[in-house]
This record gives sequence, structure tokens and C-alpha cells, in this order.
Amino acid sequence: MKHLLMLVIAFSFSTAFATKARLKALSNSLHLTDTQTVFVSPYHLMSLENFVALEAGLTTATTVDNGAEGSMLMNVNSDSKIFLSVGHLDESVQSQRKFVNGIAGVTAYKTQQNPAEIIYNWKDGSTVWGLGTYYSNFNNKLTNEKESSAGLRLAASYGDFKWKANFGLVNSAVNTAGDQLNSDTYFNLGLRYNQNTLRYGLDLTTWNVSQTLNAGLAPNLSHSYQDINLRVVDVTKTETGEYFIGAGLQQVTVKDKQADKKFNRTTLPLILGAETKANDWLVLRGSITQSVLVAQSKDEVGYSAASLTGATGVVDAEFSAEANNTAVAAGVGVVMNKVQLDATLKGLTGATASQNINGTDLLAQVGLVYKY
Amino acid sequence: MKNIFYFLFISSFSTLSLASRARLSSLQSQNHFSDTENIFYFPTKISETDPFLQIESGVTNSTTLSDGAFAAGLVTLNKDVNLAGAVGRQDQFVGHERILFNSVTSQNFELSQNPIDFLWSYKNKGQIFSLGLFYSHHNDKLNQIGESTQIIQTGYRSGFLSFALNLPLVNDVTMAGQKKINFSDSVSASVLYEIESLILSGSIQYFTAVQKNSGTEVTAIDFQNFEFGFSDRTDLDKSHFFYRVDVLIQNIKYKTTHLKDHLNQVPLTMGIESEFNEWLVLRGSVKQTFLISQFETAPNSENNTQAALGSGFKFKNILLDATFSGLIGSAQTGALNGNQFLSQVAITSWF
Repeated sequence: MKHLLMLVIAFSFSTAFATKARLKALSNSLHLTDTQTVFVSPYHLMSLENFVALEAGLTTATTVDNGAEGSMLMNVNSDSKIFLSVGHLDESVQSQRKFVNGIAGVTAYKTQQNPAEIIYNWKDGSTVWGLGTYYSNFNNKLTNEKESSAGLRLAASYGDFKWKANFGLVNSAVNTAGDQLNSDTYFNLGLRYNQNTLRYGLDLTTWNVSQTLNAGLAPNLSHSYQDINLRVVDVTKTETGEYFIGAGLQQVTVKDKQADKKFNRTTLPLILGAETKANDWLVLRGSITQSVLVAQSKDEVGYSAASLTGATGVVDAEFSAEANNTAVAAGVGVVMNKVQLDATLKGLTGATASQNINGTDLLAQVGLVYKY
Repeated sequence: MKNIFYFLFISSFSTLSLASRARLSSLQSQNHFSDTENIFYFPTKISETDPFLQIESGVTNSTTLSDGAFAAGLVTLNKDVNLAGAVGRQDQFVGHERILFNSVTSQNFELSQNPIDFLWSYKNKGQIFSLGLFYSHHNDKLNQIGESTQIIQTGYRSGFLSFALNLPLVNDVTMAGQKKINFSDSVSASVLYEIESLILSGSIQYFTAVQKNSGTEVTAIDFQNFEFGFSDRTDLDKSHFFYRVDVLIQNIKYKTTHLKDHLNQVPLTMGIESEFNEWLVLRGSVKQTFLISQFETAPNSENNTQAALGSGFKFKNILLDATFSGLIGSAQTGALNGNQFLSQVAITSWF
């Protein structure tokens, strides 16, 4: 009976130190270093213990955060590590496909299929270098549905200063209607700087995407995307964990090249969060985000909400201050020796949280990390 | 040689050697684990496994290899001779043949009915010999439905190498509508090379199946399957992780229509298993093909990433294994809650 009681307690509160669940519970705050952040910031690898990470999820993933995936980090020698991953859908590919799939009338394009990734990190004095590449390929010769992606990552860390560059080199897909998606350029440049308890980050992300219909010779859709995101977070360490407060200034510009119309959105999101050890085996975490003071958007095109955050699908929609976008996320982690089980508290997370912790709305997005 | 053999025996039976179908499901059903299930794949494992009694929960009328109820047990007659048996357990090779045939022909031929399986092994000077018989029979005379299965199972181990050979003697199924399939020229052979944590494995399966409706041949297929695997395991204090790479080659020839299917895949598997305390074990794995995933008539190179998580609970000499139902399978919800907790539960008693 005692065992069963402990079990119920253990699984009634679970989420942890790594994984998608942790990032979600902490609203992807700038300062986090995690098994999932290594994909966009490869220099993080050298600061992590070796691990095997498993993320529960769908085999046929539809978004970057609902698919099954696994990864492993191991030492090559004392100054270098290698990271292997399967199943991870990368934002440098999925951003464009999600965008196009959200446009009315488009026959859906597949996500990345069976992607694999490898990242190598090495130390050169006080400098940490990271180099990685990913790949996926799918070709259904019966229906002619295809997808292909490949990319390259470069990053370095010099003490408190770090930079990263992610390049999407190949991103093409053919849907069941025979239409062709092409996104020839994805580029993300990130700069990071640590100053005492402050973490600064500046990201520039750009990409182009076009679609050519099966019977067409020229693209019928052509869009460009640009995102400039400046963030700062103040992280305070405590005896049992940390809490943080931060703000950012984000400007997104999307242009419909054929109609020569634009979508502009500028926001100033505030983030508050905390993560603390409740006891030896339980970690609790939570965060809240909301735009403050600045939340403006103008959409000449009428992009759908499924394509772009902040869009409404209404042509010429304009907000000088947007409606509610307050979102809370909460999660737990159970630390069991070398294994950490992370999950979000399902009833307390997301825009439609039920505010329940019960047998139905308990844990979601479960991940398991084994450190060795 | 004898010392090496006993070293292998001891090292392969670590404290993490829990058991059951649930455990293997959580670890992607790989054959490189020391587990009660593996005595049916490599009968010589009977001599390397402690006596146990196992009860697997499941349905009475199973339609897959993983959903049926069964019990299995192992006893030691003397220091050299062990006996094992199972009631209700589907044979993985014959079961696979029928499920595959049903899948490619959209038929619904039944699996083995009320099967029993007996296995015997004999250890002599570092070598192990094993022999087994699988039997099932069903005959509904009123509705003219039935099936018969008889399989000879053999095994041999010497040093690092283990062999298994399965020879189905009878494998016939009849279903309503005077539909009958007969499997012939059926054989499956497996080899396992184990040296410390490094394991190489290979298997070959071949069969011919002919379906006749009212005595007229309507479908005939030849099936070949080749599997080669390489795995390595790292053992740490009360836990281990492993990775494994397989090469799968499968050929199906439809003799009636002269069509062929080929499947070539290279799946990668990574997994972990760790003891939290003296009574709780957590385990999980992920599997996905990479680089090569080809299938001629179906989009087999689509996403096939599968994560699986489960747990084991130890109560003295009783082990309860289960998968987390919300965290296993291709359509998992990713949730761990009161509605989606334990599934595929099995109880194993070691004595």
C-alpha cells in the first residue's frame, strides 16, 4: 500500500529538467539550456552531461512539438562531444510548411519524415565550437508525394558571448495534388550575451517560401518572412532553484510578394517564471507570458491564424493594441536517480487550460532523460 | 571456455533483467535483452534464466502477437536440465506468417487457438542443446472453421554463439466460406553472437502460403525476411542504455499476379532502463529508420518514429511490468494520467 501511495504521488506530479515539457512550462525562456535547446544553439552541448533523451509523441507528427523523438549525447574525447537525434522536426523547416499549410486552398504538405541530425561540439581553449547538420527525405513513388530537407548549424561560445547561425539549405515538398513547395533560404542568426544575472539575446530570422501548382510553370504563392527579436531576462538563483523575469521586443514582417502586401506585428512580451526543487525528487516549474504596452499589428493580406501568430484571417485587420494573449504554463519533473521524467501539467497549461489537476487533466508531453 | 560461458550467464542476468512482453514493448521488442520472452526466440536461453512463472494479461481471442493472454513458466529439473512451457502464447513465427498473410490479402484467418508450447534444454560442458514443440488445434465442424499448428523448435549454444531453428510441420487455417490457407516450406533460423555488451544478431524467415477458396487457388505468396542487428549496451549503476542498428530486407512475391513487394529499412533504436529504487524501474526507447527506408507500394519512408515508455514494479520476488498506455504506440497522446496509465500488464514471479 505504501508503495502504491508513493507511486500515485510520484506520477501525480511529474515533469522535469529537460525536454520539450520543461521548455513549454518555462515558455521557452531565453536563458534555458536543455536537451531541446541544443538544436538551435549547438554550443549548449558542452555544458550538458551526457544523456539519452526520449520524447513521447505521435509517429505522424503534425507540429514541432507533438512528435516522438529521441537523442543521445556522448563524449568523443575530453574536449569534444557528439550528439545524435532522430525524429526531431526542426523549426527551420516546419516554420515554412506550417505557414503554407495554413493558407486557404493549399493541399497540405508533409512535415519532415524520419529526420536525423548530428551535431559535433569541441573546445578550443575557452572557445566552444558547434557544427551540425540535419536531413530528411521522403518519396512515395505511388502517389508522387515527396519532401526533402537539409540544413547546417554553426555556433560558438566565447565565455559570456555566444553566437549561432542556422541555415536551411533544402526545404522542398510535393503534396498529393502535385503542387510543389520551395523554400530556398532559411537563415537564423542569434547573438547571446551574459552580464551577471542578465541574459541578452538578439535573433534575426528570415525565409522565403513559394508554391507552384501542379499545372503551373510559375509560383502562384510567394512570401517572405522576417523576424527580429530582442530579449533580456534577469535570472535569480535561489537555494532550491531560480526565478526569472524578462521582456522582449519582437517585430515580424511578412510580405506577400505577388500581391505586394504586408503583415506587420510588433509586440513587447513580458515573461515571468520560476523553477524550484520541492524535494529530492520533485521539481515544480511554471511561467506566464503576455504582451504589455506594445502589441500592434496590421495585416493587409489577411493571413490565417494557422499560418501566423497574431493573424486573424481578416484582410486589413489592424490592432493598435491586441486582445488577451496571457498564457500560463506549468509542469513538474520527477528525478529518479539518473532518470528524469518531465511533463507539463496538462490542465494548467495553454490558452485553454481547464485549471484542473485531476485524473483526466494531469500530465502531458512526457519526456524521459537519462544522464550518464 | 566454461568460465567464459558462466561469466556470460551471470553478466547477462543483471538486476535489470525484468521480464515480460510489456518490458520488451517499452524497449522496442529487441532480442538483445535477457528476458523471459527471449526463451521463445532462443530456446537455449532456458538454461540461462532463473525459474519463473509469468502471467500476461490480454484478450482471449488475440488478433496480434501482443494482445493475447498467456502464461509461461520455467523450472529446473537438475543443474543441467531445464524445462519451460507456455499456455496461450502465440508462436512469433507462425503468428507473424498468418498476420502478414491477412495483412497483404485483407483476409481474417485466425491465429493459433489454445496453443501450448513445451521447451527443454540440456547443458553439457559449455554447450546447450534445446528442443521444443508448439501445438494448437481448433475444429468447428458446424461452421467448418479451424486451424492446426505444429512446430519443432531447436536451439544450440556454444560459447558466444546461439542458434535457433524453427520448423513448422503443420500450419493450416480454414475460415468461413470454405477459405483455406496452407503454409509450406516454412522455416526460420536465428543466430546471436554475444560478447559482453556487444551483440550481433541475424535471422532468416521463409514461407510459401497458398489460399484456396472451395478448392480453387486464389492467392499464393512467397515470403522472405532477412534481419541483421548490431547492438551495444552500457551498464552503469542500476541502469543501462543501449543503441541498436538493424538492417531489414523483406521480399514478398505474389505468385498469382506475379507482383513483388520489397522492403529495405535501417532502423536505429535507442533505449534506457533505470532502477529508481528497490521497487521501481523506468524504461523507455525510441526507434526510427534512417537513411534507408524503401517500400515499393506503400509510403513506408513516412515518419515511423516511435517512442515507448513503461515501468516495472518489484514486490519481493514478484515483478509487475507495464507500458504507459498514453506514451506508447504510433498514435500516443503523450499524456500520463488516470485514464492512460498502465497497459499490457504482466506479473512475473521468480523463484
